[in-house]
Amino acid sequence: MNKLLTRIVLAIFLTNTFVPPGMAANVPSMPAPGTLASLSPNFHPSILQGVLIKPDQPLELEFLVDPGDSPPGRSRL
Amino acid sequence: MTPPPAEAAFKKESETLIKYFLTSLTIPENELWVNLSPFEKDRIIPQVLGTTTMGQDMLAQDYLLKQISASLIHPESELGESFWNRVYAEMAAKFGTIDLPVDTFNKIWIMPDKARLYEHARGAFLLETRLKVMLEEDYIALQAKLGNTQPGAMSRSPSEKETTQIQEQALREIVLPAIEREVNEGAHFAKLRQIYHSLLLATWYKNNHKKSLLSRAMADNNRTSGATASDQSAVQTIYHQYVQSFEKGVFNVVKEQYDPVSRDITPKKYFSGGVNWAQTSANVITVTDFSMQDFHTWGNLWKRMKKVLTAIKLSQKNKKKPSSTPLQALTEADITKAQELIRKENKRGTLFLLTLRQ
Repeated sequence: MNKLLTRIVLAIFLTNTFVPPGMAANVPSMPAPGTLASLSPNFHPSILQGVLIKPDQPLELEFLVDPGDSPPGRSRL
Repeated sequence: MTPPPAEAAFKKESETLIKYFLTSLTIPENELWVNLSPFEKDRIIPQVLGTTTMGQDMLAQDYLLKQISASLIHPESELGESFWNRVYAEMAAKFGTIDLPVDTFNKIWIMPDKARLYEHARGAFLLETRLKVMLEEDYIALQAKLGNTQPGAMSRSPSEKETTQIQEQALREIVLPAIEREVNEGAHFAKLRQIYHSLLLATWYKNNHKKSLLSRAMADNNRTSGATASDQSAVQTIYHQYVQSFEKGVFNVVKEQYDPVSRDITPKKYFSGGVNWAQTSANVITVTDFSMQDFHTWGNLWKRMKKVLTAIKLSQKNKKKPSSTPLQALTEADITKAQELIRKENKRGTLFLLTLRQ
């Protein structure tokens, strides 16, 4: 148990010591530098399609949202 | 009661779209741009936009644009092969040799193209939207024509222009159409299209309801507190990643980059440039009557749509985030009713949306 704990602490220490903060991780969904990015299949995302104004409620807006295609792994709304 | 996962995901997604709308509403149009260039580290994104989710998403999409653009001219890819064959053939025909310096750095921009918007007394609906992709040379020409001095516009020297003319034309004819299709239809740029739709509606609202309480409170006031991003270091992270990409190149193919005459390895290919929404207002075509084509478009859109009601909170400290409540999805009965109303309204088709709203 102690051995495991020591290894975890050591791993964290080494990571924090030798990996510069700005390079610790790439921004998600962005291809890493030096990697090829290919074209993607067609995809229709959810989008705002319209806006309705409510004259009696000046701080309320009603939006019409097109739910778009379901991303892989998500069921259609 | 906890909503089902699909509904929760829809609500979260809708909130993001509404944040894009509010960001576009509160930041002036001429400050809605991002610009990734290794030589312009102080001009990546306007300060306020950089604090928002929308600004950071725009920057991430711009990074993706550069990465894809550079990948497409990989000499072993189908497009890349066509591109290089064309460049070398043109060089050989024009100069009698292919041992000429080729510019390794191109600037590429995404701009709003025409958008068609249907306007009603109590709302607006987007019928058609499109984005365009252009090279720096075309971008500069367009900005000059419009009398704008936009960020990132950087001219090449006359000698550089001469040597890169062939390459630019090949990019314009072979590579740019593929990128433009990707930007308008591909999964990679879905977020950019989401931003564009929210921006178009916010721009319409800002320009047509200047006296409304919401416009007076928020329009062009840089009031972004409800739409700020949780990670305020993302701009720098993306920029560093971009610079790494620039230094590394997306590909390193010696047979293409090694010059047998000078025995030098030329710098790796990469792109800079950005996204600029400054011409959004100017490119919107507003219609107040439906054509038959619009009926068809709108009929198809209507079947998919869901309604989201949003109350904008404008308390002094603006602590509360804008809340959104997804309502029931439109039922078959709603659609039938809409179709009946469309038939009755015949040419104008103006009121059916409001009639259906409960």
